[in-house]
Amino acid sequence: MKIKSITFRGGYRFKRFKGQPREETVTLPLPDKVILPLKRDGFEEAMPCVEVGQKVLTGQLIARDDNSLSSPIHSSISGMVESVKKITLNGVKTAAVIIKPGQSEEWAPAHNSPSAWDKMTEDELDEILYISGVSSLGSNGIPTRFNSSRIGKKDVKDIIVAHTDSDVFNVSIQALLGDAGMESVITGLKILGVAFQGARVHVVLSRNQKKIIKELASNFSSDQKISVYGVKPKYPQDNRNILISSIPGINTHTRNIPVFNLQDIVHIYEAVVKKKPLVERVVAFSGSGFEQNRHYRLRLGTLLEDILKGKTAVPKSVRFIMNSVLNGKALDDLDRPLTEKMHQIIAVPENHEGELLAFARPGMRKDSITPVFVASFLPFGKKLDTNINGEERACISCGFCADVCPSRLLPQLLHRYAERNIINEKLVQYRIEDCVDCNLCTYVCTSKIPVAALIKKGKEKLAADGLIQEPGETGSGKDSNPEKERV
Amino acid sequence: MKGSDNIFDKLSRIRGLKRFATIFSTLKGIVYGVQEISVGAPHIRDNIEIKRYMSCVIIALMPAALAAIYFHGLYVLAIIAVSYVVGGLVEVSFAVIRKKDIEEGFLVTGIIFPLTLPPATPLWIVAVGAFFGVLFGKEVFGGTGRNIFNPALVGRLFITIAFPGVMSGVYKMPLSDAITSATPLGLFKADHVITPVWDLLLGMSAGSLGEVFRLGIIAGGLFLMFIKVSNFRIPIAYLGTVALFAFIGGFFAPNVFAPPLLQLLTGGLLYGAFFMATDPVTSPMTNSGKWIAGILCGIFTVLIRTFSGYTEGVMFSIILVNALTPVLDTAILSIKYKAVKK
Ligand code: SF4
Ligand code: SF4
Repeated sequence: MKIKSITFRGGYRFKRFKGQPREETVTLPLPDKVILPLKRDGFEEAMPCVEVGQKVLTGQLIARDDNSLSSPIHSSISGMVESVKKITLNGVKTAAVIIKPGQSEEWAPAHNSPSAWDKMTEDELDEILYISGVSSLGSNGIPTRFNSSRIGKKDVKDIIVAHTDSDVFNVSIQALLGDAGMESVITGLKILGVAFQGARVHVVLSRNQKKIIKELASNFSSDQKISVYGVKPKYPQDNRNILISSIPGINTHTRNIPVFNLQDIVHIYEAVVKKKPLVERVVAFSGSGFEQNRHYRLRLGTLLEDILKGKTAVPKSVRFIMNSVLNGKALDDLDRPLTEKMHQIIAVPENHEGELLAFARPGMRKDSITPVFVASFLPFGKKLDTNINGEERACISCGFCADVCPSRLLPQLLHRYAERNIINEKLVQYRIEDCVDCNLCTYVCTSKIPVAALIKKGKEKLAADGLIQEPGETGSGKDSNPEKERV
Repeated sequence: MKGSDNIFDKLSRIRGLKRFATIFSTLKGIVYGVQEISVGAPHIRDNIEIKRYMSCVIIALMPAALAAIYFHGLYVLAIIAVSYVVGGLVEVSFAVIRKKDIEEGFLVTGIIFPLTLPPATPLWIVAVGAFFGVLFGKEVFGGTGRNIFNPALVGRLFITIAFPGVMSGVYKMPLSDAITSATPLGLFKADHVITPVWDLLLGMSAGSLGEVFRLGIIAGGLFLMFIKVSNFRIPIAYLGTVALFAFIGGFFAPNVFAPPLLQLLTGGLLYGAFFMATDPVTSPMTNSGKWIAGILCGIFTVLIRTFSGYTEGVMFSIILVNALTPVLDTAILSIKYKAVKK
């Protein structure tokens, strides 16, 4: 099979940052308790089907509601239900089941089908994907004949699976794979193909993952449904809208395109073949704020506080960020459980101090879009912290923001309107709606203007006035509902 | 270490100095860097910032500036100093009045402007030019980033028009004290004399302070383009148009148009194309706009040089294109965004 090479214009390549997670995956001892919210991100709350005091097994169903858009929830450890209570997660109230571990570590299987996966019917796969909790994964969930996604199963013509290494820190593919190795990805993709008879599956990988691309390509050489693409690992290639517009032949106007990462595919494999419900997650610990940069296999519902305890490198204060330093949220409150939407926690040192004569230094470890620091010519790892590295100034029209904008907008133009609060049809005409909230314009800005935030403000105001669609509706970004998750 | 323990914060708390707080906070920024951290995503920022950006322009101007000092002695330093002091005072007063930080832009204007002057320009004229340029070229528009015209050019244009007598009789040959008015372009216009290329490249010709050592200007200009501080589109379009136009013109009227190479290597063309037409604030926003601006500059330059009473046309051309830039931007935006709208 020919591997198609695709990309998009603009974007930015984050190269050689210190704090990349190593390939190894460490399993931590089981937690003292797990908190399992019954409302998954982007879904309604499911109904608990266990009682306080009841003994449960790992993987046992504890909540399910077939009547609302929801996803079944499973206990992530074996033990006893301690309580069911209301918690607030990402600003939204939800019921949560709290489970304390017991003696046994017995598992309940995700399904009892006796047949091998390739003998299963589409209906059977449908049910397994739903009942195992896996249908909660991806940008829009996995559509099944159950109430598992806003997208109707029949409407799905294209499915995207992406792992493009395009962020500053990236989860290692090797670390995701369990004992089955690449087999899990290959079979997972095949299962997806069978479950969605009428759809094409597009697998988008960083073109530096040569071995994996080759392996996939040789496995799907005769498969018309599955195509493999190699991309430049350029941020924000992983963004849903950017993926959709860079793959040739996809209808860009439809919202019915679920997007998954490779870990989601491994989960599909494990649920169907290994009968393992969605109870754990591999999470990369990236950034120089951690003593060890590696991956951990963690049970869902474990308190972040417990996971992160003792893992930071220095007594200096660090900021924990979820999934991406470019557009992820800061985890200010660590008293919250690990959820299935996390794949990376990044610890970035806070830096309130500035640097003596910063502008005149050679910059051995400083990243920049312009080669004005010697780091651009040296092979050393680059450092980052939360300092904004310069004073806010008036826009000098340097144009870097327009150079990187993946949507080919003119951020320097848009932000001026938004800053002066002139938010009207003019901005609609300048296609402000196309902004995918990648935040690159703010990253590169010479004058340290919060360009993307101003643009976002403009979009929100326009949406409130009914001049453009609600940002959430276009399904931009990895987070299904950024508004709700503001911390 | 707390950010607030440094000397500049202490100074700004002294009673009588309070109103100058903006000066101290600017100095603090220069010496200690910034103490501000990101709020929300993106949590990290590029290390490029305005001081580094402006420093790079100044570094790129060094070959030309040092050559000027070598050719014309320490008097050049005095010219540059006057430009900085006067321009700086205007900038600082406005910053104090506006209670905003001092914008770094004047550091570049302060050196670009004096290098456009003839070697024997009296210091009081330098002062008038710097004052006028910064005040009317920039501050009246609201400061850096909002100005339409390149401030250095505004200052230069003003003294050219206001003091024509003084400004035409102050050219000198490098390494000599003899006053001359015979710049290479003037020599061509008068007698069709073609100054040798190496003399032009190395600076052995009469001209403004910073424009004669052309090898150094080319090196500085390429450096700026390479580090992306200046956009390559404008200089390429500008110089390319001049060469092409002069070639075509010379084909039909060889005695009227100076030949392409002479056009490129004379007057303030290289200096203007690399360091003034590229000023991001005053050049068009879009890439296509930048190409067009460069081409327009080139056409105007050759036209003025060839057909007007002036020997040099770079300054007028860039100012003219600066004036057209808002119109150009509007026109391009309306085309660009009409075509795409469904
Ligand atoms: S305007 Fe939007 S899409 Fe473009 S760089 Fe900024 S945040 Fe990204
Ligand atoms: S990067 Fe910042 S300073 Fe440069 S044009 Fe964009 S908004 Fe203006």
